Amino acid sequence: MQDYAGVGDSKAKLNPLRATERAKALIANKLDDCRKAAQEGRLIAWGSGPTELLQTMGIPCVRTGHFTQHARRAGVDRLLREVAESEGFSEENCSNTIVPIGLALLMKTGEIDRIPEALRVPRPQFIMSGGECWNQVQRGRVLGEIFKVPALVLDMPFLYQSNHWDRDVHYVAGQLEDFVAFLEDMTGRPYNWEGLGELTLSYQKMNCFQSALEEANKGVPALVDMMDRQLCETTFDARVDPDTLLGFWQEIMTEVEERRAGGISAVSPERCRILWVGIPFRGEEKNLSRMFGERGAVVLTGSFTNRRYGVYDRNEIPPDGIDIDRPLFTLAAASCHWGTRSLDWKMDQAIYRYAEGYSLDGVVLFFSQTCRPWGIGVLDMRDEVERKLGIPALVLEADHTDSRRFSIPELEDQVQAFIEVVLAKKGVPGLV
Amino acid sequence: MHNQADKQQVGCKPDGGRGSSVALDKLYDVLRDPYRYLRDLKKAGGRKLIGCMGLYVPEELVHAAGLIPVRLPASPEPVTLAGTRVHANLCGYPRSVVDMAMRGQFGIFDGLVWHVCCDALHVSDVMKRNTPQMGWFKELWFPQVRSRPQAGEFVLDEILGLKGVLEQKTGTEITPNRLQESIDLYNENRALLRTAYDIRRAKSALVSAQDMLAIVQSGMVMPKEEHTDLLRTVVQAWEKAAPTPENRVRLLISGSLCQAVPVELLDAVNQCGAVIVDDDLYVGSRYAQRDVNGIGDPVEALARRYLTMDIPCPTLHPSPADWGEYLIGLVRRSNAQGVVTIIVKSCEPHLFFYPRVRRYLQAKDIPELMLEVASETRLSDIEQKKTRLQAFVEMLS
Repeated sequence: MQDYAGVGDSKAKLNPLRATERAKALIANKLDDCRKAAQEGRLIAWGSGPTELLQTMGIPCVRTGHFTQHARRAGVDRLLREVAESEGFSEENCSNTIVPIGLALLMKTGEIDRIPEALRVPRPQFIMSGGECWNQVQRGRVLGEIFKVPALVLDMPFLYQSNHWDRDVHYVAGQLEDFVAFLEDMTGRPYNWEGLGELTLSYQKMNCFQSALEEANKGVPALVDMMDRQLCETTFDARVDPDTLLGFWQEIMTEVEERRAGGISAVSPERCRILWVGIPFRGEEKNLSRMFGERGAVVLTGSFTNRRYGVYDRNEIPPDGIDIDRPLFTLAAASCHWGTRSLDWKMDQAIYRYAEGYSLDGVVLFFSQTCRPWGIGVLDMRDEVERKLGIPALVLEADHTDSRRFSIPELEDQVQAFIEVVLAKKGVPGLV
Repeated sequence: MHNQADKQQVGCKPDGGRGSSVALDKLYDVLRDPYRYLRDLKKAGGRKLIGCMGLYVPEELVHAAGLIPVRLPASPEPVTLAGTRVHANLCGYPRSVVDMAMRGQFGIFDGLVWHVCCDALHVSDVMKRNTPQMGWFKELWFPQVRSRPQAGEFVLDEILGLKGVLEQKTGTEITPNRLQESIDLYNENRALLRTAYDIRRAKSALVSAQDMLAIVQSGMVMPKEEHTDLLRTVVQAWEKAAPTPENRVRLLISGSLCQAVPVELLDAVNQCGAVIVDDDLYVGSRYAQRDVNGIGDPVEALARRYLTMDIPCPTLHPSPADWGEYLIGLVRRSNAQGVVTIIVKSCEPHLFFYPRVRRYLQAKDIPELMLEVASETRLSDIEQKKTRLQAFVEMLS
């Protein structure tokens, strides 16, 4: 571990949110929910995208993106990749797709005992694909073929055309209606519209919390590290029930107020403030917090953290980004907002919205090597940051879902160098 | 050091008398240096050229506006400037196009129509930011899941949007009659190409893969009227020529390249003692498939062509046709002995489909060789490819 000279000749102190431990506990058993459902003969899905539709019908879902990250952390992704590649799939394919395909192939051949029990998940009765990119669609198709089950694929416009917003959202909403009809067929029950409305309402409340956390970090020093916030936000993605979710986030806000009153910051001393653009590494939040935090850098916020409902969508979905009277329309609009669709929009949402009020000192632009949609335009974004904001930008390229391409020591070296540049530009005594 | 002409040297033309004609020579000239041809065309006639990117741009609509639609050829030059903007693991074809734009070679185009049919084509955003001198730019997206009625409305809306832009930029109204004339011309061109393919299957000693590449790719660049006249002459000559015995190993070449197969690869097949008797390529037989059905409103007919396209395509879901079945059909029709599949390393849509196609061919005992190319615009390892081709051909002999 690097020793630092600088302010007080010591590492900065991290002050993680207590809530992160509760978050881990809340999401720890999400795969257990799937196993329990299988034992009880209930439906299970695999996939991504608007899984809120499934949640309100009590259908647990193995979120393939999350599974991939867990697989990487457990070192199992290599085996699953080999299985996929032996079947003819390429290492050039998106990591988030190859690993679940490898898992499905392993299950098909009855060799699931080759992976740890904690990662063994039941077979799906259907697949859902969010359509955020073409790889998601193909993953859905391939998984559907392997398991011989239906694949619901959301055809989302690849282009963000603001003058066609209504048309695009209606196009997606129409498909979600088809999904609803499918779920009614599969379950033999009418769709739980009331439940979807309640879930949508809870998301609206969540947005208020998210906005408040954003505001809290405008002050110097910042109160909450983005990685802690991201860890807490995984409760959202893991589809914890709305009441529990709201209660949990109330606790977070209470803790944040305690920090404000007690003068406790995310990092102390806070030497510099960083914006994170791109997907944060799920499963490595603590490592990232440490890498930046020990060097006195607080990661304030990130575009990905705010990607669903409301903060991104405020200008597009009246009145506050969520329309609780039209939850399907809201889901469709949120789906259409997925960040890969337009570089101008990405820049606006990811960078310019934080240009004022956050006292940024640097920007990290992360993208995964096999995620081409996210990677396109990153170099332009870097130049734009340096030109328009006048602060250093780091393009961080790694694949947090591929243990062959992910190395904490390498990342740490890059973060170290970046923070040194940031501090030098700020004229703050630096790290050695 | 190779000069420009060497770099763009097209592979062997057939021996004297086999398929040679003045008309075919002209098409080869276009193939050798399409951008030089386009620059000369622009200087000579002052006609407006519209660069078209993506698989399903409705060229007929662009033509009906009095413009010349040009399917953007890639450059054989290595990517340089674009490498500072676009990562190396992105598909080579859009990288090449961005590179040419950044090097100022797209000044000949008065506008670009860009159909985003896959994730890699989002690179248009990078191109727009880094090439401010380019003319107008119109992006399109067509639903990739075509089965729902709403998909049809969406496609029609996008085509009408393009029509509006073309009319506004040219000051020309695209009337139904004008559009129908363009559709008829393009349908005639496609019919001639299909006839050429039929002749090639029957007379593979006469018509080479390089000839087919010349007649298809030149048609993607030239004014359609001129190309159709030349193509008609070529096809008539081929129809009259007597077939000669062909003893070489017969191969079908398949791939999802959006650009042409590198000519060196076609040459390598010949050098290994084989002949390509058919292809499943976009710059190939796919370009000639499926006419625009002229019944009713021609704009709707354009939309219908996209919606009912039944050629396998990895950018559509589900793929319009089972790719394995489709290839088996081509193999039988052309009496091919084996399939060579070209995979572009970074073409994710194709990479997802390939395992299924491979399994299918194996199940049907169709010999298949897969060659992975790093970029569809240049080959850096042709000798290794040749070795593998040689072994494959020997196995089939």
